[in-house]
Parts: sequence; structure tokens; C-alpha cells
Amino acid sequence: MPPEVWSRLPEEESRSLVEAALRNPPRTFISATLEQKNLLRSDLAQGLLDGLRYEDIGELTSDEAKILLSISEERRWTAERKFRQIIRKEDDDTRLATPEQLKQIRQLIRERHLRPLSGDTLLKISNLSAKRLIWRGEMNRRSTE
Amino acid sequence: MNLTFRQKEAFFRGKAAGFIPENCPLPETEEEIDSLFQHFGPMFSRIVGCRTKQGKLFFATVSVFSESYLDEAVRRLPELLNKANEVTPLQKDFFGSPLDELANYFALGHGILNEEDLAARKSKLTLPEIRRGFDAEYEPEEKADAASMEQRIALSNLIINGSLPMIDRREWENLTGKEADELIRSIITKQEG
Repeated sequence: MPPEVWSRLPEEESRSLVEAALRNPPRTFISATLEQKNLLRSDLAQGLLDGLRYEDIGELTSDEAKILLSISEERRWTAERKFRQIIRKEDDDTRLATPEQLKQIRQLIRERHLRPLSGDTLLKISNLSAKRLIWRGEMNRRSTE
Repeated sequence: MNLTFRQKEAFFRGKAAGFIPENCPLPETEEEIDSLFQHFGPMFSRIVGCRTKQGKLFFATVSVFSESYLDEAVRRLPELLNKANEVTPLQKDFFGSPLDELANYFALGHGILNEEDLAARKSKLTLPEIRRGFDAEYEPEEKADAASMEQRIALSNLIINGSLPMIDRREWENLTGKEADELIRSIITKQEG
């Protein structure tokens, strides 16, 4: 709920909302961790999460991410690619972006082919996300040339 | 050991429907909860990714009495759950705790009732009998010594800032004012020390 809506609520209503929220233990709806999100992105890219969309990942709770990861874990055994290949790809996708990739991304941002990212975000970016950003940035560059 | 609110309601509805014998006491241990399945047989559960009309992903859990009915019940989720507009292929079968599975069953309302599904059970109950479980008026018990809203807010803050470990739903829902006070005081003492 946006703060401006919250501040306009009558006391009775805000109290009943707080009561309803307190029925759940704290951290019930905590966001998925960066590690979970990166793994999900890798599994989605590998076709292990049919039905999931990229835009879903940003809004997932940690518990929802756990469910999805347990689904992709099961599908690793029945996927067309070998189990070992999937694991290797997951490791490769989720490792941190290389300094070379970060340099390329910063250059693309500087040239306004990508939206600006904070330093913190850049430092946490995974290899897979870096590859996608660079690809998108390069596509943007081509379309402006 | 206490049950969660949801488990208590499932126990009450299970009795009203005849799935659980009238004289069966409220289970007090994990083993007693597990042994409830001897009354209504094993259930088959699936966690299913659904989408709302706006395309937002959420998960619903379906539990039924026969494996053969599970697929059909999942397909019918948009009829059974107002919120569900679409069922996705994001699905996973699992075996859960009998009371949680019974809670999932009642949560989907009358629409989940299916004669062939019920025929898979050990005892033969009729549809009107089972409907009583869905229709029964359930009033959750209000504990006089339950933790207050102010105590819960204080505990939430302590958990969110990492001073206290997470509390599971069963413990949180059954937390008494005395227990909450002890927890809050233990952290204050630790911080002062």
C-alpha cells in the first residue's frame, strides 16, 4: 500500500489491517534472495520452468522461489539436456559478472544504450544478467545507428 | 504442541463431514496428526502455479482423495478459485500433513466435491454428509492470554532487525502474552548486558 494511501486511512481501518497482517509470522512474505532469483533466471533460460515469465521473478517471495526451485530441480532429471550439463550451466549463469562484462555495461550506460544502474546493483550482477544486459545494450546501440 | 489456526479449522470441519470420528480428540503431537490419515485415507496433493486476470503469478494447493481426480481438480481451479484465471504448467505433487491436506480440500469449497473421488475413500460417506463439513459455522477460539498486538509488533521488529530468529506459524499463532514478554525481555537483557 502506498504511504499516501496508508496515511489517509481512518484509525479503525489501519488498526484492523495491522491486526490482519500480524496474523502471519514476521518475514512470511519476505522477497526472494538474489541467489534464488539468479538460479531461477538460469533455470528459466534452460527451459526448466515452463509457465514462468521473466517479469514474475522480481516479485516473488522467498517461499514462492523455493517452490519454483523445487519444480526445476525435479525437471532436471527429465529434461532433454543431461543433468550434469544443467548444473554446469546453472553454476556458470549464477557466478558474478566478470570485470570485463561490468566495464562493457558501464560503457553502454555511459553511451545511454542502457538505463543507469547503481554501483551496488552492478557489483551483484550475475553472469547471465550481464550477458543479457550487454546484448540488450548492443541491440539498442544498433537501433540508434 | 499446538495446531495452527488452519489445522484446527480443518479438524473441526473434518469431524462435521464425518472424515474424522466424533470421539477423536484434538491431536497433540506430530505423530497424532500423521495418524489421522487412518480415518480418511491418504490424500493426493499438488501445488499449482496460477495466474490472476492481471497475470500475477500465485500458488494454490489442491488436495483430493484419489490420484485420478487430482488432474481434473487442477484443471478446474479457475472454477473453484475466484482469483485463478489460468493454470500454469508450474506444478508439483507432494504428500503433506493430513490436517493441512484436509484444510486444502475444504478451502476450495463445495466445487471440489466429486463422487468418484470420495468413492476412493475407505468409509462410504454421502455427499450431503460431507457438505456439512463445508457448511459448518466455524468460530475460531479466542485465547484470553494471547499475545497482544503491541507485543507482536515489538517481536516483529526484533525479528526483522535480526535480534530474534524467525518464529514458525504454529508458535506465532499460539503465542501467549507471557511468552511474548519473556522473549522481548530476553533480548532487552541481552542488549543491556
